Formats: sequence, C-alpha cells, structure tokens
Amino acid sequence: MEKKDLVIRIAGEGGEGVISTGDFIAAACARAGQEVYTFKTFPAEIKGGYAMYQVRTSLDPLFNQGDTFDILCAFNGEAYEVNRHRLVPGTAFVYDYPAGDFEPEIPDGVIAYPIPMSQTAKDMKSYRSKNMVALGALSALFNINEKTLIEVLVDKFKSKGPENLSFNLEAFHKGKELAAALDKKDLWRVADPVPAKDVLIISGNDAVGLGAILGGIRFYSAYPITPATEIAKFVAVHIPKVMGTLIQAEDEIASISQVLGASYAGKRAMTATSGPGLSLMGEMLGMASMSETPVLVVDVQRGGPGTGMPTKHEQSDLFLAIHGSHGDAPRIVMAVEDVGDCIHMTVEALNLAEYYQCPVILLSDGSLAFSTQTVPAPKPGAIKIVERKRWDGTGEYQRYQASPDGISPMADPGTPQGMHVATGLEHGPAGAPNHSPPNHEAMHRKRFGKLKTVVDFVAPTQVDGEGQADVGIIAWGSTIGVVREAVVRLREEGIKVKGFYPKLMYPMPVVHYEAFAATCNKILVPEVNFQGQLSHFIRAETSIVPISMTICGGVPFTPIQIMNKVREIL
Amino acid sequence: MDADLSFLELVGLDFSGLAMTGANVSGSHVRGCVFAGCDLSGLYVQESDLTACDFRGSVLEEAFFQKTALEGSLFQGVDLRWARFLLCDVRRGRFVDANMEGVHFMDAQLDGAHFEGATLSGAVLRGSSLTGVRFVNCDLRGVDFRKTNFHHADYASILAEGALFYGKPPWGGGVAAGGAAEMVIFDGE
Amino acid sequence: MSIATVKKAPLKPKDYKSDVSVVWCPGCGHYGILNAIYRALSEAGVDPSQLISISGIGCSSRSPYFINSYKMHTLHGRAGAVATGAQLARPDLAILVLGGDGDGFSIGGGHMPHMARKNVDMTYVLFDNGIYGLTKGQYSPTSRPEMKAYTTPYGGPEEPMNPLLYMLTYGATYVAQAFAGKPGVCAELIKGGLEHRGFSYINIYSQCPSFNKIDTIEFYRDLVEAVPKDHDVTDLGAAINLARQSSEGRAPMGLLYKADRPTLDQRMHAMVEGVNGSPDYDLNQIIDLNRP
Repeated sequence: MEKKDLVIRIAGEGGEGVISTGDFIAAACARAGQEVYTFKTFPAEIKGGYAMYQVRTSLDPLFNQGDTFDILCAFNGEAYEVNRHRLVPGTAFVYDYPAGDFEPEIPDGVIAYPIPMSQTAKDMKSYRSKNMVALGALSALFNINEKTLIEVLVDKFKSKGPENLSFNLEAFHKGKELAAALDKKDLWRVADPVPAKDVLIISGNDAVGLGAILGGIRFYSAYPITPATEIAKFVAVHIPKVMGTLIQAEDEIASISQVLGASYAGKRAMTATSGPGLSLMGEMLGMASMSETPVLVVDVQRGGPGTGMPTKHEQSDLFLAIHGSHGDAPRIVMAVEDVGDCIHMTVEALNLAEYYQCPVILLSDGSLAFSTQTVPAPKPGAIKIVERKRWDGTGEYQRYQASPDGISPMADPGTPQGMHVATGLEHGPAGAPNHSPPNHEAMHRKRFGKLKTVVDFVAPTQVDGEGQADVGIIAWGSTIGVVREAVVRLREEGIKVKGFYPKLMYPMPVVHYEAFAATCNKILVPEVNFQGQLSHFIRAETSIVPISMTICGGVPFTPIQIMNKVREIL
Repeated sequence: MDADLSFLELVGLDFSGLAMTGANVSGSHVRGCVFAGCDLSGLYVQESDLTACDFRGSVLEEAFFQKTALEGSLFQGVDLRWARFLLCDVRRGRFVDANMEGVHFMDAQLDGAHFEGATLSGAVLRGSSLTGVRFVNCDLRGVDFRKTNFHHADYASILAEGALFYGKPPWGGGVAAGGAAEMVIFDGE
Repeated sequence: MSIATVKKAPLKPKDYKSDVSVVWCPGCGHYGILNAIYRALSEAGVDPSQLISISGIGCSSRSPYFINSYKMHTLHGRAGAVATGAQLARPDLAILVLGGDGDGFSIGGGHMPHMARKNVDMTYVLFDNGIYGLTKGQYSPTSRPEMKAYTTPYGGPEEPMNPLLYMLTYGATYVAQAFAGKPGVCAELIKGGLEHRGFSYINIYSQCPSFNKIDTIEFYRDLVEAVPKDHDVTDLGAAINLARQSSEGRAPMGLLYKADRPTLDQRMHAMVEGVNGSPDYDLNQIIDLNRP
C-alpha cells in the first residue's frame, strides 16, 4: 500500500523545547490543510528526563498515532538510545552532531542527517535556540511548509518582543541552511499545502474542557491528578466568562460532593479525575444514583492500580466506572474514541446526566489526554443542550413520584412549595425514608428502568463494514482509532474483517452487540488492560464468546499489532 | 416570652397569668408551682422536677417535656395538643377533659393517671406503662398503644377506631391490622 | 447567609417544622437544639423555600428531615463539602449544615479546615454529644478519655479535640458555643450565625442519655461559663484564650469571635466581573483560541 502519511518523532530532554517543536510542526501542518494526530510522552520528573513528541500528518483523516515513525529527530544521546531499535532501513535520522553528547552507530539503510544543533545554539550564545535550529533543519529536509511554520512562530513569539522573535527566526534559518548543505537521500516529505480546513488543533484534555463549556456547565470542582489536570486548567480560564465557578477542592471526595451539592442547587456540574480519584468518589456516586442527582465525572484513565503508572496510557477503569460503588448503583458510562469525541461526548454526557438524573462517567485515557488532533471546529449554534425535567409548580410536589419513564421532575431550591429532600437513604415517592422490601424493589426498578432508553438517546455504537466477515473486532476508547486503520489495511490484503465500536459502555447495548456478532465468524476484543475488562462484560451480558487480546505496557496499540493478531486467528 | 428558667430553684411559686410562651426549663426544681391561666405553648422542659404542679387553665400546645418528673400534676381541661412527654414520670397525673390530640407519651410512666373524657385521638403512648390508668369516656381513635401494658387500664365507653396495638385489645374485638407502614422509620443509617 | 434571602416573613417557629415526626431517644439534647433552630430561623426571617438544610449521617444528621426547607441528607462526613457546592452554585440561598462530632471531625475532618479558611457562607451547627449514638455508643473525637464506651471498655486512650480552637485556628469568621440545656442561648447564637455573611460555626453540647453516661446535662451546666461581658468578639487572641479554657475543665458559652472577611462566593463573583462574564458570552471567542 502506498504510504500517504508521514510520522515525525522528536525526542530529547524535557525542557529542551521538544514539546514546543512538535506543537509548531503540528500547527504548521494544520494551517497547510493537513490532518494531524500527535502523541507525546512527558518525563515523570518535573524537570529534565526523556520527552517525546510524535506528529503524524496526512491529507487523509487520521485515527491513531501510527505504527512507528518515519523520521526521528534526536536532541540528545538518551533520545537516540531509547529509539535506536526502531531505526529500521528507510528511516531518516536527524541528530545533534557534532558537539552533541553522543556519536551514534547508524544502522544499514538508515539515512543520517547530522545537524550541529547544540554548537549552533552555543555560537548564538543561547542554549534555548537549539530546538529552533532543529526545526529549521526539519523544515528544509522534509518540506514542512515554511510559510505556515513562520506564521506559527510569529504568532507564538510576537508577544515576547521583536528581539525574541528575530532571534528565534535567525536560529530557524541557520538550521535550514545547515540542512540545505546536506544531500537529501530519503523520500520522506510532507505533502504540498492545500487550503486549510475549518479546524481546531486541540488536546484531548482541552477538548473535554471545551466540551464542558459548550455543554453549559456552571460549576466545576477540581482536584489535581495526572493525567486529567489540564481539563481543570482549561475550564478555570473560561468558566467565569459564562458566569460559572471552578473551585479546587481539598480532595476528590470533596470534589464529587461539591458537584452533587451544586447540581441539587440546579446547576450543570462536573468534575474530572483519573482512576485513583474515581475510586475515592465511589460512595458519592452511589449517593447520586440513589438521590437521582445529575453529575458528570470524566475519568482520564492511567496505568493502575494503586498509584500505578500515572503518566502512562491504559484502559483499565471500565470495571470501576460501571460497578464502582456499593449496592446496585445505576449510572451511564461512555468512552471517547478521539479528541473530537472529547468535545461532543462531553456535551452529550452532560445532557444524559441532566435528562436521566444520574451519574454519568465519561472515560478518556492517557494517550488522548495529551494527544493534539485536528478536529472540525464546533459550531455553538449547532450544539443541543438538554435540560433536566423541572416541576411545573402545579399540584403537590413529590420528588420521587413514579412516572411512566421513571424520570421524576426536579425542583430547584428557591421554588416555592417545591421543598423536598435529596437523600441517600432508600425512600418513598416523597423522599421519606422507606425500607420496606416492596418499596426498595420498586425504587430499584425506577432507577434502573429509566436508563432503558439511553440507547436511543445517543448513538451507542458504530459498525465499520458490511456483510459477513471472518473476524469482527470490538474495540472501545482510543483503541477504536487503531482498529479503524487495521481494518482498512487488512481489507486491502483481502481479509474479510469488520469493526464494532461502542461509545456507550453501560447500559450495554446488548442487541447491537449480538447483531454484529451474528455477522462475524470470530470476535476479537483488543484492549489496553490486563484482565480484558470489556471481554468480561461481553461474556457476562451477551451470548458472544470473544477472543480477548490485551496489552498493558503503558502505550496504545499500533495497527500492526491488531493486523498480526487477526491474521493469527483467521 | 422565651424566658430562661434553667437550673433554678423555683419550688412552690405561683406563676398564674404569666405569658411564658417558649420558656425553657432545664435542670430546674419547680415542685408544687401553679401555672393557672399561663400561656405555656412551646414550653421546653428537660431533666427537671415539676412534681405536683397545677397547670389547670393553662395552654400547653406543643409543649415539650423530657426526663421530667410530673407526678401528680394537674392538667384538667388543658390544651395539650401535640405536646410531648418523653421518658417522663406522670404517675397519677390528672388529664380529665383535656384536649390531647396528637400528644406523645413515649416511654412515659402513666400508672394511675386519670384521662376521663379526654380527647387523645392520634396520641402516641408507645412504650409507656399504663397500670390502673382510667380512659373512661375517652376518644382513643388512632392511638398508638404498641409496647405498652394497655391491658391493665380501664376503657369504659371509649372510641378506639384505628388504634394501633399488638394482639387483641382489652375493650373487645379482634386483632387490629398493624400500622407500621405509616411510620417514618430511620434504622441505623 | 446572604442577606438577600432574609425577608421578614411572619413565620412562627412551628412553621419551620416539617411533617416528619422527630425520632430521637427520649432524653436527648438534640430536641432542644432543634427547637432552637426553629426559633432562630423564625427570628432571622428565613423563607423556607430559600433555605437548604444539609447533613451527613448520624443522630443529629436526621435534623433536615424535621425542618421545613429544601434539604439534603447525604453521606457520612460529607455534608460540608456538599454544602460548599450548593452555596457556590446558589449564593442567593441560605445554607444550614447540621451534624455531629463524629460526622464533622472524624470522617468529615478533611473538609472542616477548608470550609473555614475559604469562608464559605454557611451556618454549621455541630451537635457535640461526644459519642457515636446511631451506631450505639463508640467514642468520638470529642469524647473524654474517662468515658468507657463500645470500643473503649477500659476507658479512652485519646485526648479529645477542641472544636472551638480548631475553628478559630482555621479562620472561621463566626465561632460560638452553647449547650442544649440553654435552647434560648442556642437560638440566639444560631440566629447570629444565619445573619453573619461568612462561615459560621456553632458548637452545641448535647447530652446523649443512651450512650454517653458521663456528659450529662448537669455536667455541661457546670462546665460552661458565659463569655465575659467585656469580651471583644473581634479579638482573635482573646477568643483563642477563651477557647483554650476547655482543657482546664471550663468551656465558654456565647459568641467568641466574629470577623468580616470576603466570602468565597464574593471572591468568585469578582473573578466573573474581572472577565466581564455574561450568560450570553460568545462561545466562538473560546473556540477560536484553539485554532492552529
């Protein structure tokens, strides 16, 4: 298959400008009409340590970070050492030489471009310009559009004064000249510019924040946790503009408690956290189920359990999200596939919480948190906001009155004659404690029963492919994007394969699963956790017997891994 | 109004005619006092000694007494609607012709008390001892007699529809249906 | 409490009673405190529909059921945190938190300092009976070591905490104390708390006749000592000195400290004004910040 995309990996010491170099390339490509999908790892250390930023760019839509890179730009010896085994024939290798901290061994077939990044920066008497030298070299070598790149640099540095800007541009041009003096021996080049699309380039965490603002939140309670903290940062900047409040709580228990209080008081409210925080919130999520109070919790999953691997990618909170509370505590669980979902499904999740008056947990993950992607710019006018059902003020108000759809109107505090109790005790229609067996059963039927229509409220699943297939792949979360590409590439090999992508994880759209499985000989479920958590739920709730495929090394799947597994089980 | 009469020695005084709405009496000795014509609605009394007091002609609507000695006190004809006597000693109290709708006597000692002609509809007597109590001519509709020794009292000419009790009632008739579902019960949250 | 919610409604104390009948043990001091709350609400003129009563779990945490208002009966220890969210969401409402010593200072201890230092505009009435009553008598953070209880058959191994000193240290802007034998004093202090703009903390000793056999109403009567008439309630040092008396077998009754400090919601509102916040803010301005 002809390769249409290009993957550039920049690696080096945290603080050397690795991340900003990647951001500049991604933004320049997007301005040149390209699709962009980035992937990055931060050092666990606060200062220094290995940092990596990978930009995948193409004129066609991109669904994942790719199998590996085509171009490696190593700022230092550690970056070379970490990525050395991936230097396969055909790879272009740009590195700091001479006068860097290492002398690499160049494998056969690898095209080497030594650029004296550190030396040039030293000559300019500013270590900080090292990444600008590298950026200039990469631009010249691989056709990264110079015009848009310089526009991006101007926008970035203009606020820091003309001297700062001209200095950075000078370093950029020096890098360009150094590269121009070398022989171009590889085939890698970014496609020529086309008219830019109406896109944003935004990370998964910022996208959740944007979705929250567009979804009408007026209260957000934050507690710092990797890798979810940036959501709070985004919301903190913008929520006062829409008359809302963000507060940093003393712990995650306080966060979810404050969200519950604000929601009872009538405001759209949410928090975001990662697995450890969601664990702490378990009891209060049960309270939200019991008191039928709308709350949204976004869980940006990380490696667990315990403190686990805070900066690493994993999809291992599905059990916790669906069942993480004592008693029978119904909630809605959804999982995002990509950054676009982070915007739109956050809006949707807020709508679901308000409509169904229950906790909603939206699962993102560590690889999406920091992945920036080009996504169509949302249109505020096209966003649908669903409000909770409110009491019309007539008759005698009973908060938990039975209704055909199980949804009882709420009354905002301040409403005359609407006084009622929100309680964690089992209660009758008026909210008074009632522990009789028939009442407990009836109330469970109400709380679970109202969720039956969720499957019609959102698009619960997507099916990729038609007709009968040898292998059907069921994937959730960011693994979907990897499977989308694997499916396309396997079909090009003539293999009959289909994809099934649930976005609604609970209540499980069982009918959709069964219908899909009926068209496939075998079902493969790849996921990034040890136990095969979605496979467990499929075994528990459907008649499907899936083949579970799990990895948990802290990084996402690559399309090749999925393709190899499909070939193996054919 | 809202007078504070806590931790005082007030034995044998005459408070007749005073407006004492919402007065607070905690830990005081008030034996043998007279409250004729007093407005005592909303009175709050705890852990005090009000033995042999005379409340005739007063209003005690929604008054609250707990752990208080009221032995031999006089309440004839008094408005005691929704008043509460929790864990009180009211042995030989006189409640003849009193209006006691919705009164609570939980875990109270009422042995030898007289209620002739009183209205007790909706009263709660749960856990109280009723040896020798005279309910003659009383309106006992809806009264909660559970956990009492109510077989040891006198029930001539009473109304008792809807009363709550276990087993057969002493005034004849069958086993009543339990009314437990009506109560708001908090147990061990 | 936000002054806007106070209207001089002609409501009597009994108008604040809900139709749920009160279920505490006979002899419990909480009856007196609840009476005081009804009276304070009446005297402060709080509109029941503009009030949210919030509690956690425990004997005293049942109180919201007995009050005619909006109410939340939440989880053990979480009342203050839930109330913080409700207050920030609706600063125009009055927020009343009701709970016990175990609920507030043991399981909920993580939240207490933050409500105080953030000066969240609410009135916290803590029913301090030095015992876990609902679980039948375990020692609490305010139990005296000489108390033999369910889990301390040989007496307590710990020293009790001092709630007043704690609240003064963490920056509560209204700190008072009374005991259930003086419902009139309780009512006066709770009313003051309701009318205070900021975090008001009122510690009320309450006898538990069922499980705490040593902290009787007579014990509290002899323990408390009215705050001296010449005490300056704006003097934090003087308030701390009064609060420290508890370790010497005396406890102040009355208002110890009162300060005017911006509340959390006032500071939040200033942020909104600082960015010209508006319900009609053009969201495209936020979207456009994320273009490449």
